[in-house]
Amino acid sequence: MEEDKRIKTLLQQFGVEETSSTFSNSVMEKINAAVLIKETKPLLDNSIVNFIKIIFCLVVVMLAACILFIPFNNMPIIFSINISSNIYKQLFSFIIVFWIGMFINVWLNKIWNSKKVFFL
Amino acid sequence: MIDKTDHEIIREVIAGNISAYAMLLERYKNMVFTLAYNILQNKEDAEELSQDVFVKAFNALSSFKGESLFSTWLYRIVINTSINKKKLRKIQPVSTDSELTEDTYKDLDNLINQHEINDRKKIVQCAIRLLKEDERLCITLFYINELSISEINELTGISVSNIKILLYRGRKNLYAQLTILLKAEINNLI
Repeated sequence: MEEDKRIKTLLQQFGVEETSSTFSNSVMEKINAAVLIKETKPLLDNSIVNFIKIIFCLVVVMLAACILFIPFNNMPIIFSINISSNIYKQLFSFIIVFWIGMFINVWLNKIWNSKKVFFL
Repeated sequence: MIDKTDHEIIREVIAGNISAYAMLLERYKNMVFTLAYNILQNKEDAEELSQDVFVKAFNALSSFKGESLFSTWLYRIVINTSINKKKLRKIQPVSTDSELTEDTYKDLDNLINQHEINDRKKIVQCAIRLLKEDERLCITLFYINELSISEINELTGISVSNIKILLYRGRKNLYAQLTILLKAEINNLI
């Protein structure tokens, strides 16, 4: 169709947008970075990380078992440090404020992300 | 180097020559960007999306079987990624009313020839921008990205009959917008 040819020529000549001058470099940088990440080996081998995790869990279970099944007086370690109630108060206040801050942060992040998608 | 086919370049990239990907990038960056821009209508978003598309395509290159053209595969990624950013409106079938006459094209050719190349680009791109979203998408895919109607149907999910209507309506509106813009431009110059 003549009409089709005309419009095709017109659009291909004048309708194609051009990217910025840094476009190709940015893409190649991203690709090289992605390849580098793929090729980079982790500092610790996965099997070592898994081994450390298992040891940690075993220690936690053993300590919990000690607390549950061995009477406090028969413990080989005696805790004799007296901590004042002020320190406990400060510690609890810190934990509460920290978690409140954390939840607000997560909530704000969610709202921000959903708005970002909405506006796009 | 430039005459290598897409498939040859892809084989090279998969074999480990990452820099060969720059050839594909140079070949398709403007087409990908134009398509993304005509969907998103925002230059910064389109540029960011186009970069992501090329990175995604690179990461998935080994899964490209070569059953379709690389360009079609790439445009599919552009459309899917763009849809995630912006939902395409539902397409309503429309009637085709008035016909385009031969005089319309002649008038338009005369008007276009009166402008410098840069001005022509601006005017044509502006006219594309003024089309409705669905018309713009079909016009871009069909005339700029050179996809067939069945490929557009496969990529966008718009039915073949609706694509034909949108192309017809898009062409008509494009000529109308171009005529208005070109006349306005000439009036401004006078």
